[in-house]
Amino acid sequence: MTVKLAIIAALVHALTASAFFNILDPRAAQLAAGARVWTMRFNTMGAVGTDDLAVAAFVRNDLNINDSIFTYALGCALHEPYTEKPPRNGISNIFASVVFVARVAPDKWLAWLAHYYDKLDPRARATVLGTMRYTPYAESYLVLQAALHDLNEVPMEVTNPIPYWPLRVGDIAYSWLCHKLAEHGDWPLTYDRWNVISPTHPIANRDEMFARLAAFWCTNSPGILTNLPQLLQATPPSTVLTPATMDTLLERIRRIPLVTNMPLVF
Amino acid sequence: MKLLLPSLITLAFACTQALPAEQPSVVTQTIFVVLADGENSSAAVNAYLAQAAIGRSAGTYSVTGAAGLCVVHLVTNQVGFQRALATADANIVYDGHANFGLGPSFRQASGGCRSLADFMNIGEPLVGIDWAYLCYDQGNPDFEVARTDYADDPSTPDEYADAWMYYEELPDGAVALRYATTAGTNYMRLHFRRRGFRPTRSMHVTEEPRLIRLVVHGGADDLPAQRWRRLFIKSCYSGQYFFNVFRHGTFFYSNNEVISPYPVAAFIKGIVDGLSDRALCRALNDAENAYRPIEFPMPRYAYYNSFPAKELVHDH
Repeated sequence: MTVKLAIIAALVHALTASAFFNILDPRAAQLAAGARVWTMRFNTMGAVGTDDLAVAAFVRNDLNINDSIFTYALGCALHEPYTEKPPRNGISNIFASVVFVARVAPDKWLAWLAHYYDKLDPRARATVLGTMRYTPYAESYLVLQAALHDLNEVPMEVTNPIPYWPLRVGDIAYSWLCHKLAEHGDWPLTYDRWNVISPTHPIANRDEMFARLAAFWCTNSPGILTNLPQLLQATPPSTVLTPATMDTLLERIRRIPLVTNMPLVF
Repeated sequence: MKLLLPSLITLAFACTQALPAEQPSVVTQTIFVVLADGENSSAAVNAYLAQAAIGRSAGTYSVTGAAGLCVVHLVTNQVGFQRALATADANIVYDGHANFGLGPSFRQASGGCRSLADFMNIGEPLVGIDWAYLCYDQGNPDFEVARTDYADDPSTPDEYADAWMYYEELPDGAVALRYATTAGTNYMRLHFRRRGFRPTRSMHVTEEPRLIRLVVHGGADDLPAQRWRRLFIKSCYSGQYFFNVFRHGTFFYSNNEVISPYPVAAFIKGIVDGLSDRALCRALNDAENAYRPIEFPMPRYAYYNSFPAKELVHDH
């Protein structure tokens, strides 16, 4: 009897505490307003399709890297989950490893990523899109434009639970496209305030930003793309990007299942 | 006078040493580098200045570039930051904690802030803080909030800081949390209960990690009359916290979490190189992403010019 009473008391306490904290938690209000609650993420590279063994095989067979320490790091990466606490501090072995690969052989790495693009997880897709920011070629604009349609969520760490809406692959593409347009001088100065989409931008506001970019792009893209260098005619040829890589990337981006929660006019 | 004369001679000699004859002698840009508690830019800034400076005296460096002769002042206290904000056409870069929008703190060496007044108050009238985080993650272990500083309703003695929370949309489309003591349309009521006691018995204990905000009276009592030209606040979510406070010149801010030690040096270099606001913002984002070999790159800084007519530098 005493045990039953204790169990009931514990259950009541747990329920009360849960409701108590739900009321107190400002994020409950944020959720009501449409924000996404903060959750712990795992930053496993290629959670879909590109498993770590594929990375390891690529490193061994395609890059001919047989460094024992690097192999050990990759081996650990197969079993070690992401953790936010020191000493790992958000850095997983697999990410450290792929960054290393990206640095020693960026051309092969990007070609490999392009081939697997539609199977990469959104975080890895965002990484690939980030490589477009330094390339002056017209094809990089087209890649970013194509990726605007990818509205799948990019898992990222938001440790300060202010209002937070999920960041999407298309949001990353939007930000880089705006930056490239601004850098090239095509983007109006008055539009610069809308250059960055962050987790603190509500989805509805992002829709307005996308619509503004779409209107601008529809009107101005023919002239902009004509004036940009083309990768095919690049002299000297790019050491990282090849026309084949970009073609593959564009083709794979278009395979990404559309998540349409807003009208797109591109 | 006997003491003053040698000092003046020494100063004059130092100045001639600092500025060789062929260098421009008219200061065209003044840059203040404000390093507060939580900063991680010192090494990068010192490395840049060691390589670029043509002269130096205590805490002040001379650098020349496309912008002409630039004087860089290193500031590590509240008075210096206030002087920077009040300096006409100054370029200011701040690195340190935003302290949830309360403002900077410069008390790490003396054990951290103990009260709200210890912060440099340059925030909104009401600020939602994470008390435990300020104490144990940001180096203020003895920080307490005086009973009179709670933004609560005194008619509910057992429920403190039950202010109202609402979202404010910023000009860049992002939103920020704001707080009020009276209700408004779409406002949400907060209830922070007294959950425990610290030595004073009047302290709210926010040890439960999901209790993340305690609404207190912040304010901008320490904000001087602003005369600066460009201001970059390198703190997490500085846009959300300080957008309304710094509606003056061109405000460079973050609407995300930032961690790189490089953007402060990039800001100094950008000013010296005579970059436009747009180009400067890109340089800040490049510097932030240069430190992010692990996470995917994305722009985290934006800028807003409250006086677009003052954009005098041609875009690069």
